[in-house]
Amino acid sequence: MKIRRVKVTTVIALVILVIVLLMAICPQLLATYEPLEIDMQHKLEGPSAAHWLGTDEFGRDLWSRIVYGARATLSVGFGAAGIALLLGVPLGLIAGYFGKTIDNVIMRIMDAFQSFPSFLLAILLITIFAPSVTTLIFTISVVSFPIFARIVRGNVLSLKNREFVEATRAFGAKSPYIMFRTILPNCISSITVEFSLLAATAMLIEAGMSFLGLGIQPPEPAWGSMLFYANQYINQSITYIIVPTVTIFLVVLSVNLLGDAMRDWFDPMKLK
Amino acid sequence: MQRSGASILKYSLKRIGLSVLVLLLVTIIVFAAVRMAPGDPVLTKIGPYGDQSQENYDRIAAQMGLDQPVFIQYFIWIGQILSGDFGVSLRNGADIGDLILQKIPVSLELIIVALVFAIAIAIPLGTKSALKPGGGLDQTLTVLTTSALAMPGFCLGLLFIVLFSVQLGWLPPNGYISFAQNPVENIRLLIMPALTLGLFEMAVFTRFLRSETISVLGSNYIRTARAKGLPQKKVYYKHAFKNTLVTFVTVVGNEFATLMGGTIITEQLFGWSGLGWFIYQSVINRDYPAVQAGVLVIALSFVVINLVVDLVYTAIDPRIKLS
Amino acid sequence: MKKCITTAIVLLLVLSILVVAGCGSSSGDASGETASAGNSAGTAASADSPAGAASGNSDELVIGINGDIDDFNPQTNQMNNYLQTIAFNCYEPLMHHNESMEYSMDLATEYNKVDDLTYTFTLREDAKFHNGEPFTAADVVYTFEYIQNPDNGAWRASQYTTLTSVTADNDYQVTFKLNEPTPAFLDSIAYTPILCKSADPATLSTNPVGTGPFKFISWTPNDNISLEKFDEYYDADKVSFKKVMIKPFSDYTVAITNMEAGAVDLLVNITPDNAQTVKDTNGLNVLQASASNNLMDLEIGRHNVEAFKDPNVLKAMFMVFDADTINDQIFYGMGNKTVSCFPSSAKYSTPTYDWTYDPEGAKELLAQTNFKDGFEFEVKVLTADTASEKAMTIWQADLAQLGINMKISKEEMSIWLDNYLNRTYDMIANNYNMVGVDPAMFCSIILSQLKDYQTADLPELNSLIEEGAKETDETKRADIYGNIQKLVAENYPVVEWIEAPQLCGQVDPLSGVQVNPVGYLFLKEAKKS
Repeated sequence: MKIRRVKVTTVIALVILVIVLLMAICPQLLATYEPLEIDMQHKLEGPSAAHWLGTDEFGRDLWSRIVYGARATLSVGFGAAGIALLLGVPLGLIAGYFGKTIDNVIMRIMDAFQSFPSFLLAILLITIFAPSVTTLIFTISVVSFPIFARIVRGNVLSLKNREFVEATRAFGAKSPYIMFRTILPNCISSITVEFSLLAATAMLIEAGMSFLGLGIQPPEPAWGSMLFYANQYINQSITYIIVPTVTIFLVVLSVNLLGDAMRDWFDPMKLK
Repeated sequence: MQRSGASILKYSLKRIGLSVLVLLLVTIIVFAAVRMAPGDPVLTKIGPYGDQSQENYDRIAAQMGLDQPVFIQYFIWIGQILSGDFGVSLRNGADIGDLILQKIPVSLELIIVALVFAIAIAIPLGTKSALKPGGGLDQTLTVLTTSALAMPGFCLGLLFIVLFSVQLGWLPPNGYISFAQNPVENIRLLIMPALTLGLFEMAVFTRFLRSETISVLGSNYIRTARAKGLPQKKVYYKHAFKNTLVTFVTVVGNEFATLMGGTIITEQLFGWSGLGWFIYQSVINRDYPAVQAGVLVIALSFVVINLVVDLVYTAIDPRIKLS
Repeated sequence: MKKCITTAIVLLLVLSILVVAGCGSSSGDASGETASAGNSAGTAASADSPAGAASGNSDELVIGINGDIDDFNPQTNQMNNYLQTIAFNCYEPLMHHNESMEYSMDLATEYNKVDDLTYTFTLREDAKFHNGEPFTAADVVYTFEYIQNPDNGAWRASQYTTLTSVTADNDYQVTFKLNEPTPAFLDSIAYTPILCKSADPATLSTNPVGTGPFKFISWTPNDNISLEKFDEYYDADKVSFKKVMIKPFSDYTVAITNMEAGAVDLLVNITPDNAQTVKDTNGLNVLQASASNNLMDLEIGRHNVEAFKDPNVLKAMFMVFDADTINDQIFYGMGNKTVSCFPSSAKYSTPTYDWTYDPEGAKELLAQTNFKDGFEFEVKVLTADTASEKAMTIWQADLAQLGINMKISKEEMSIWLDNYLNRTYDMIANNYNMVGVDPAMFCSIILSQLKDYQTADLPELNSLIEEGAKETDETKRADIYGNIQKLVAENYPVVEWIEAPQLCGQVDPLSGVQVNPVGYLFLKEAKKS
């Protein structure tokens, strides 16, 4: 077996995520200002020694707002993907493995969830429960867990009649063992890809919802809503929109890259 | 196993029956959800300066049919739908069926063009890069697709507008005009929104195809085939491609359905006045019948797409039994 | 090696995004320097216009508005974006308020106040409706019957509660009879469009028929509203545009980009921030009404929050409302600090507000109340109302210094309206465009709505409002409205904090668009050179 080397990009992604995680856990360590500190004399300024990334329309420090915004955005991203995974994967496994009526019942419920236009369902749910971090997590996981179920089920369907599964069964293994120990590891590839995609998508949905004014509410800093406000000043301060765009871009990119790396790591198929 | 026409028919009928059930569930969810949202269409109609007496409120509620108990409203609505009547807008009395019929082709054009663009690029690139994981093409593609996936959609859209409309003056920034009316203008207006959606979808598809192809290539039967001494490329196109396609069809179907209601931001940004934006506007206005009808139409299209995908799935994957 | 390449590509990509975005910005704020700037308004426009819209095309005017319009019946639609752009260009009232808030005749040629209870209007004989029918006194009678019929849900009905009859003396003269003196009557007339009696009332919302310079052609939801010059308009030779296309935008950043690219000629009701961008962009300019009747206000749920029952608490809170900074920073100095709860252009407006910013004094004052340790409340702001949201954000920071924790809650229209009309709020931000110069209208619309609820403990205020509405003696009225302004300033049922500027953005070749202090646009004489 070859020793797997770690890619440079993976390391960079990991470093970025660790920094962002640090921002989310103890923002006061990294921030240089209070995120809500208003200074109208210095609004919409570019980067300077005093304000590393410049200021927003209230003269608030952008770097500090990025730092304080990490918590909300990460919560939405990983919270939503995590809950969707916890809901979707077992359902998909059960549906795919047992088939027949169980499969039908589960998948028709998934159909109903999925046949709802997800973005619109999200908008409806957010209007019902008022926009907040919790609502966003709840909403995004509700609209996306069927994706997990579907993908896992698809995997299970094509795996469950394979020789190695049949073999395990022939040795007398119980269903839960086959499902979770034999089949699930073979789905890890798709699940990690989907998880990273979904965590990334959730952060992008937060940004999208903010574009419609349904994101995390001000003055609480969150990257998506920073983007929304920056958009209104795009002609007055270009750094203002670049800062959250690049932040979201880099973080989402890192999550995706890490997802790729994890897939390469876990995927038993790649072991030659 | 033997597949008779009868068994396929039976299976299809069963699936159609289940789909109807799904739609019924959707009608209940949307009907309840839209009414659970705070914000009263009667008050929205009265407005800040209208007559705020209870009497006036009751009158307008009665005009809108909202004075009935909720479940009666539901059955009245279902009755209407079954007779092909989508009702009238609470805002202006316009026929909702007409409005939706007007919006469907607009959305479909955008979505289909974006998807075709994405698929056309994703299939060759995704599979090629999977055949040589870690190769130059693969590396570049990975960077490009991960980047496309990491960009908030409306930022990319804004970027296009600034670049192609303001800077270069090549494309009109905003609007919609039907193909029948002016094909050239229609396409010029379509390019940027389709590109914004298409790039994202392309990245989704490419990534998916790559990972799926790699895992199929690693599976036992391919390895067996390869052990027989067949070259990898040949093995791939002969055995693996079909398998990959099976799951790919599901993903495309899914994306298609998601886009049916998921193009709101792109539509708004580029003034491409499709169904998604229309429904969103109706949600904002609490135009109950319009939201219900719009969501139902999208759900219907989803169910149909799903049904087709399912049947295609069964047709191309020999391992899935008809249940 | 490969990894280095990959890293390099990632970095390159990020860089290129920055560069492209940077280029984008330069066209926005410094387009003067580049050749493409002229291009953006000129050549690019004529070549690349969507839907045939083009700055180069002097026959067609493209107007951008904030959000779509879905009701074209002027008696039922009370939204600003409709009233400002379409209502008075498709329809006409008997007369309207011009740029200096004086009456300017439209369908009437003159009016005559016979006595306190009787008004007669002589009508124009050469006006026609868009369906070809001639305009006569019967249409005026019909319009007021329509408004007063509760089944039609006409929102101006509350303005005509004292109107008892409208009669056609002959084809071109009408007489209005009132049962009580109503000094604000003419103001109401001046913004009441006249309907066509032969038009189908059931389809007025989607198929309006007026007498204005432009007739309604079609509406495609979220796409465009198309108007066309009405060739039989009595002043048709003054009208230079053959077509008017109105396009809804949900994002004014995009809309301004459209204006730069030549796809939009006139952008209605832009924010002060937008105005700065427009000013800085070559080929665009800001059209501002000479005065503004647009009052931004905070309506206070004095009965929902224990602390608000003590006027001193509210006084302390507004002592840290930094009106100067807010005007300078949010409105770029284009707004006017309010002198009282009436707009300064209103009759009987007398200074009662004191906007001195005094955090120390506020602290002392608050310390004398039961709320020296602070308290919490929520202010509701309409999603689209960015000016209020920004002002609240600034005020929030000042209030925090007093230990008062104000939460800002952004609400979309229907939810906001629900709370507004049901009076379920601690404090709510609203804005009110006073249509006219007589404060009776302000009192009846803003203050009397609060009557049942917020001003219930101010019986004096209520009786003054009722007296003022029917008093005809000028000195007595001045006295009454002076007292109302004083009471409002002392008790804070509502605080009008700024006269927000009425701003539109337009392309340089466009001229002749008239905008009055209410923000209504009159496009009759607009032209593009």
